[in-house]
Amino acid sequence: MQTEKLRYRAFYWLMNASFIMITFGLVSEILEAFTGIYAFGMPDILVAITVPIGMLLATVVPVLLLSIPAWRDEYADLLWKKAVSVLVVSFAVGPLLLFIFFVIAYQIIGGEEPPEWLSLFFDPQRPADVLLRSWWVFNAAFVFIFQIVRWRDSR
Amino acid sequence: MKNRLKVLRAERDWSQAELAAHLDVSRQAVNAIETGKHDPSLPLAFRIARLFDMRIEEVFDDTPQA
Repeated sequence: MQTEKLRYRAFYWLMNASFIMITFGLVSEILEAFTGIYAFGMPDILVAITVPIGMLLATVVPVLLLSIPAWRDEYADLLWKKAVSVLVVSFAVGPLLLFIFFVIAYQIIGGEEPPEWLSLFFDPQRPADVLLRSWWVFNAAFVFIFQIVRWRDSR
Repeated sequence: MKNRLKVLRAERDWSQAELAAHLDVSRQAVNAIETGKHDPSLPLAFRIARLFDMRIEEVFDDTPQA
């Protein structure tokens, strides 16, 4: 019995795994920010095993999914193109809209210093941190948009 | 675009994964073509027609829907 090529299956498997790990990572960060509980309060041994795998799937794998055409057949390529076109427009428009939102919010709130939730935007950041964060957000956004495009196409 | 891919596959008792292997595409691609969500490229349409030993227009129907 013939089965489809492994690389085509791997593309979707890795996309799903990446999506799950990015979602877990985001939820974990939000949980930690609000409750101080790190990595869902998992035991240290489990954290030591899952965090490196999760980091790999949430950071390196999206880069491979974005940049290796050989993993995509023509349908995956079509979804990829749709996702990338949305991604490009989002990154052209998104930062500008965020900038406008934060500036207007600060103008409305006023005060000598911005409140804590706004200080993240106004406090100076090291270029290396900004670069790393932007890189991660770009790749994570690609995975999210791809999954949304795929879900919409399957309806 | 309507097509007879699902019927032709069923006649040969192939799964979507098996058909995908014959066509060198993913199972998701076969599913998208079968359900009319994706129109295959011309090279893939030729591969499909050749696989079933038919002409393209015998597999795919591009007449506009009423």
